[in-house]
Amino acid sequence: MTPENRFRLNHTRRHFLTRAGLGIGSIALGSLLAPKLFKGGDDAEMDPATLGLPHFAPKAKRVIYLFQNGAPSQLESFDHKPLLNKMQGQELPASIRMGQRLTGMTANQEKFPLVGSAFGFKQHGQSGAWVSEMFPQMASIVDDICIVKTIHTDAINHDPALTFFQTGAQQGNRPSMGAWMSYGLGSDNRNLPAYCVLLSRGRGNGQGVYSKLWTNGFLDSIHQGVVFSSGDDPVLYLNNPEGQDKTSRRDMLDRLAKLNSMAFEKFGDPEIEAKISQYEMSYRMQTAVPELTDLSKEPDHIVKMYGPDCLVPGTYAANCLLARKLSESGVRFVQLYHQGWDQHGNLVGEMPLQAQDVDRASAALVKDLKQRGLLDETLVIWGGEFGRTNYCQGDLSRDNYGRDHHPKCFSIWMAGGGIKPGTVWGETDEFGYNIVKDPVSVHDFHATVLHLMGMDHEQLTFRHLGRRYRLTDVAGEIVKGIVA
Amino acid sequence: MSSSTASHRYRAFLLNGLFALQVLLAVLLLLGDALEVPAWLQWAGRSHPLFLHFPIAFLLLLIAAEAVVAFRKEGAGMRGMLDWLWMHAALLATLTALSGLILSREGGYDETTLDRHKWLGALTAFLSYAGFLAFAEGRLPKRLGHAVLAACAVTLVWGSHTGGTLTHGEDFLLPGDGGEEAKKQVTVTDSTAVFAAAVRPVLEAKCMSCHNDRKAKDGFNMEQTSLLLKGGEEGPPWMAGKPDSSLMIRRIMLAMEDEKHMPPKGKPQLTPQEIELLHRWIADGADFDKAFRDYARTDSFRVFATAFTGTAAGSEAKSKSYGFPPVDPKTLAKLNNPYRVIAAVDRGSPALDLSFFIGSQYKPAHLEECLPIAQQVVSVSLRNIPAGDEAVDVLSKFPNLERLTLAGTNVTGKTLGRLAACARLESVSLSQTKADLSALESLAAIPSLKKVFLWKTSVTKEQVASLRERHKRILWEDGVSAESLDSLSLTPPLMVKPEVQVFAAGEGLMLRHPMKGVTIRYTLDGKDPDSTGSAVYVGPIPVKGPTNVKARAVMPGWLASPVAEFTVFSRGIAAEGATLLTEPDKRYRSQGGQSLMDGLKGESGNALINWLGFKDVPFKAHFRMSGRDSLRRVVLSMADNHFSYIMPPARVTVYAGMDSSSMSPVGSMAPPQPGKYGPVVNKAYTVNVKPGRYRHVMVQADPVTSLPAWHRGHKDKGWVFVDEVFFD
Repeated sequence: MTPENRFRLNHTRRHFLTRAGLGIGSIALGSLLAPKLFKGGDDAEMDPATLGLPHFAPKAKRVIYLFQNGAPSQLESFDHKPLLNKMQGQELPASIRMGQRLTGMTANQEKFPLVGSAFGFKQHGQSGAWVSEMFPQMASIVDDICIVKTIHTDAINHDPALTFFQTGAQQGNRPSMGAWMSYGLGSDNRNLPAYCVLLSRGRGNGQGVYSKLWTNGFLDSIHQGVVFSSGDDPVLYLNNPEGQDKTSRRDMLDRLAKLNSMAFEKFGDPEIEAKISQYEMSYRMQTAVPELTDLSKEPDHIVKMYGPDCLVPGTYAANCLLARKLSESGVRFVQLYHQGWDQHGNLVGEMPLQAQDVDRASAALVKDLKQRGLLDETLVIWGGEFGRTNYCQGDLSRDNYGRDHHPKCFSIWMAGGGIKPGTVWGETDEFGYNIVKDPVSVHDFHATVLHLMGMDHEQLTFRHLGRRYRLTDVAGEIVKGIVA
Repeated sequence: MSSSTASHRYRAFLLNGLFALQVLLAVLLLLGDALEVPAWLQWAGRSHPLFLHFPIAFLLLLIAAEAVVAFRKEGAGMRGMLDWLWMHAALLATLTALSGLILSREGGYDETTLDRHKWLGALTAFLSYAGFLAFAEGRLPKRLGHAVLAACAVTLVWGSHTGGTLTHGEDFLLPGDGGEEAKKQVTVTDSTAVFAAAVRPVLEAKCMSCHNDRKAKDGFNMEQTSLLLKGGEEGPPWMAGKPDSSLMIRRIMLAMEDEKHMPPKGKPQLTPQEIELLHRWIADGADFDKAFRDYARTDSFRVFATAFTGTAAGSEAKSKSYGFPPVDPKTLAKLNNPYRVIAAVDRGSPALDLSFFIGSQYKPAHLEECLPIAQQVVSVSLRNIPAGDEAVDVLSKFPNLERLTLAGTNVTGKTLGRLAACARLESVSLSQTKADLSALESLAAIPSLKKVFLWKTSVTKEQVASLRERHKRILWEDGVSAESLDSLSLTPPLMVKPEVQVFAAGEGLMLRHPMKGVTIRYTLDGKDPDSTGSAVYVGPIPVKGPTNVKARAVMPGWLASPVAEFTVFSRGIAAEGATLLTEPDKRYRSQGGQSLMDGLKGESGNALINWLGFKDVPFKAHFRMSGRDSLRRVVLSMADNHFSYIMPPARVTVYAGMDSSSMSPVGSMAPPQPGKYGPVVNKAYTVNVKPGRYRHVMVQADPVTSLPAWHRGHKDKGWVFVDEVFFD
């Protein structure tokens, strides 16, 4: 027997067994788990790779996550700590630090002088939430949002912290939150990806973002985040090449699908199916995407709401406007990253620039969703990967300072889709260093977001390498107090 | 021969074993409560569920087979196998009974049922042995054998049933009459009694399986309030206001090993929150009727009980139930396509969401085709779909519609009154439609309506105010109006091709602005442009030599943009070659001398690409020229990034000559140093040189040696960053 033949025999036997066992078994199981699976259209519209959830009636149907990459300081935004101003320059008491692990950037610092916010705070709205003067527009929506002051994380450096927030684990390779959503719920609008990623960069000290943050991990690659580019052409290579019309494109895709189906028949690799459905979707995206970039239906003052930057592709404001349009068009999870929040030094110089870039557009997004009747079913999240220290990094000068990474407490806000509006959740100590009431871990945050989307975080699992994985791993409690 | 001996030996072994086990079972039964099971034998008890199904199956089969043999006189050929089955059935029944007996000592089961099950199980084991003796061994009279068979059938079925009751509960086989009623969810409002909302559900879940109308253990029945108050054999369950002296709390708090602990070991236990709730409720007076609203809003018990019911509701996350049947999946499959998506509200719900996507694909018939599922559709989105008033007519035939989105459609609103047929309609979005006041009035007549979105409709601010006044139950959301927004600054103008900063002769700098209707005004003299007098940009600005363009955007209704500054260069005289004479910092080396004449501008921001950076030594470069053109100016393109220590050079000096050994200074300049941190920009420093033809030029730029007092790096060395040198 030739090696080729032996391989073939082995190969087909292995595939026969896999398909007989797993194939039939998974179909039967699938029909139990997701009756919707077989309610799909006659032209294979339903993605076989999704579960067809939700488990129960969702409060939010879509998510827009405004990730503030680099970690904006909570002490200059939502966590008002006047004591720090009073004790300006005094040493951080050891009883407060309690041996907390510091980053390599300040661990060797001789002194840890406390530093108060150089920016004033005021109470706003009926909720009376404190917001810094750097964020006047976000201050105007405090009655629509829930500020969580007590989120905390395990990581102290950007990459693991960011990866933790996006995937539920500090090491890469797990599926990101958007991929889990896509896997659990699929896409509403099958003419667009279920998970879209928009990137922008501010004027402050920045940290990179990488495609592992929007990875599908071990889930089918159809759940991977699709990055929209900042150029005039938001989805690259979407348009037909010059000289090819719609009919010949269709013809080409049909033949390609036939070849791919043959390959799938032969190998049974689900990635081939993913490929087929992605080709089909990008064909339909050719009509869906021009609607997204068309601003002719927007009233003129929408530019004033989001700020004039929203007409400059690649800015945060433009991404917020695009996020609204994507979400409005049924995209399940829109992930924004805005870089530049890493103020180790020159916080007084850089943070106002960052705030200027995001304040108006973030608030406008919430207001805009609200006035269109979309906020009720859209969850908006604003926040970074950790907070910043209450002590100064480097030299504390009269009018400038920096802050290092602080994982033990920081502030994010959430709005819409089942979130209790006008709430401030949790309390930190008066040094802004430790949590004294209602801590929210990253796992809790994930569990809550999944809950709002109608999914039980303990039930949304995927079997890989011999065990079931969850976004929340083996932890996570729903934060009931912020759920409306 | 040998195999027959072996099977004989096996049979004899089993027969002896069977007899021994039967005796053991009888002894253990007689020992009764005195039986103590050591921990190491627990596994034997736990194997009960493993064994019990075998005797049930074997005995049922035997009963049927023997009945067939007896009445129809058939199956003589089966005798051998039946005998074999009898022996094993008896053996397994005995093992099952034994393991059950051991398991029963672990406790945690309802005792009456357990007792009954024990005796029935044991009886079945004995009867199966009798059956074996009668049928397989033929040691009993036939008639007696049949009686044994019948008795065995009865004990087997009855015993199995009691076993099922023990593990699965009483309502497992046939749901009791009160079962459904009791499980009905209580809708919690302010006027709900705390007892009904929070306390009773706990008692139902954790206590009432034993203390109910049918089975009041210890004479205690919790199902009826009067009996609950009366208590059981030991007296009333609580003393209002004194939780710690109350029997119920005391029994709950007893150690798990205590046999008076409630609920009994093995039954679902109360959670700490549930115990706290009972404790607090008794402390508060154990009032059955006191509702949430009877407590102050800040009352700690009210806060706790509210959170508790919230917990219960949240953890179960019950879906809304609908009275209509689900749609046939085939119908749904036929209707679903990429532009018309129909999905269940959640898994298992018959209610459907209907959404349309991609306006250009829409035809009115697409909505009409959904009429067969009209009963099940609870939400419809026609957002940004060019649907007209005909859609409203169709939608009025959706009787269970709750949420409707007509935002961005062509609906005029004239027929909205027809939606009154949708008696459950709660929310309608009409944003960006032509709906007017009368349309909204007709909507307001729908009693179930709670929310209307009317941003960018033809309703005025005053009309919205009046709608709010007259229809208070409805939330009228009118959003952000153009008037409510402050004047904002425009964004600065942009270069059409920001990557091109070095222009050939005849090329010009092109500017643009993303907003329509904007005027760009600019200057070339370094002064800030103003919004009335400065030149208006109409076409490419010619670039001759280093050009500093300052531009701003202006438009009525907006504040002028901040000034944008662009420094661009003309190619001028090309050098033939460039060599660096000093070594740049190893992090900012770019392509060495070549990068000074490659036309590639350095990138600002974090990525310092294409720059040559110097700190400890001055920038010094040697250029070979053709010597044909007269040189008048040398332009250095440099970076300013004060915060990052990149400063203007202290001095720029140009040396020139006809050969490399006889160069002399031909010009120099010292740019002004800043007095505070400035923006991150690219700057051009021009040195006017003694005009002449030179074949060799050397350019030197000295970094600042001591940073000024205002800088964070006071007294440190500054940097110079150079990316291009131009000759003119």
